[in-house]
Amino acid sequence: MRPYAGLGLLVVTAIVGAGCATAVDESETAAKATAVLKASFKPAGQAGLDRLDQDETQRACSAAAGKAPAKDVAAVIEQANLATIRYPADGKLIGDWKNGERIAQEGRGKQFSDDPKGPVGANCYACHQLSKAELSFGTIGPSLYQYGKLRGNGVEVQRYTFGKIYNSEAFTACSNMPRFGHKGILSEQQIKDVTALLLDPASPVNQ
Amino acid sequence: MNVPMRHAKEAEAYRIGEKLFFFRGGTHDFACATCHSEESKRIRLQDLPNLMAAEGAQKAYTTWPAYRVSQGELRTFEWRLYDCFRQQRFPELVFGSDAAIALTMYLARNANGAAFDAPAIKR
Repeated sequence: MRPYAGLGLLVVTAIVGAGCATAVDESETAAKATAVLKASFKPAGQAGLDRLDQDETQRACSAAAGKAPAKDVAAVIEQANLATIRYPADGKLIGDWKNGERIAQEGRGKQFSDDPKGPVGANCYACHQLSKAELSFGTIGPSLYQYGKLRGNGVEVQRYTFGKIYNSEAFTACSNMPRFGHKGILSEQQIKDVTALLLDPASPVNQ
Repeated sequence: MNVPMRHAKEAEAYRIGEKLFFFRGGTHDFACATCHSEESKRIRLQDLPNLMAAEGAQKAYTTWPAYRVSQGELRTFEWRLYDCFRQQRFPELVFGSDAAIALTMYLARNANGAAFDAPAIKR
C-alpha cells in the first residue's frame, strides 16, 4: 500500500495540471469506460471480477495510453514497484535452467479456461527469443539470446535479472512485461529457474 | 467500411472503446494495446495487427466472421474480442455488453475506408 501512496496524487496532478477541457473530458471518459467495463464481464473459472480492479501502476499506465509516461510519473511508478521486490532469504538467485526452459515454454496459467491446479508458466517465448533452437518466438520484447554471455554472471546482473522478472515496472515504467513475482504469477523458485535460464553458462540461451 | 460518428452516442462509444483498448488489468497487466499498438510484432509466430493504424484495423476487422480452421468453427468478431480477453487473463466478456459494443465501434471506425471482406478463412 505505502509505496503507492504518492502515485494516485501524481496522476491527478498531471490531469489537473494540463488544465484544459479536453483533460477533464479524458478523466470523465476514463471513469465511464471503467464503469462500462465492470458491467460487461462475468466471473469465470479462476478469473473473478476483482481482476478488473486496477492498482495505481495499472491506472497510471492505462492513462499513458500506449505512450511512455511523463518522467516524474515514471519515476514514481518505478520507485513504488522497486519497493515490492522480495529477494530470496537464502540469497541464492540462480535455480535450475532446465526447469526455467519449461517455464519459458509454458503458456498456461491464470486464464479462466485454465485448471487452477494446473501449471502456471511465464510464456517467455511468446514475446522473446531465448535459445537458438526454439524458432517459435515472439517479438513484442527484445531478443534475450545470449543474455548471460553478453552480460556476465555477476551478483549485480543476477539481482537485476531476478528483480526484472519479479517486477518489470521497477526498471521500466509501463513495460509490457508482466510482474511475475509481485502479481503472484510465478513462485520464488520459478523465478530463480528462469533467472538460471538467462544466466547459467550451461543454459541453451548462452550457447 | 464507412462507420459514421455523427450521433453523440456513437462518438461516446468510440471514446470509451479507445479507453478500453488501453485499460491494463488482471494478473498480467495486459491491455489490448500490449499486443496491438505497434507495427510488425508477433506473438510466437503469429503476426499481430496494429489496431490503432488504419491498415491493421482494416485487415483485422473486415475479415470477421471467419472460419477458424484450427477450431473447425465459424467465429464472429465479438468472439475474437471474448477470446482476446481470455488470453489477457480477464474474466469473461459478456456478449452484447457495452464494452463489447464500444470496442467494436472503436475498431470498426479505425477500419474505415476498406472493403468489407468477410467471411474469411483463418488458421
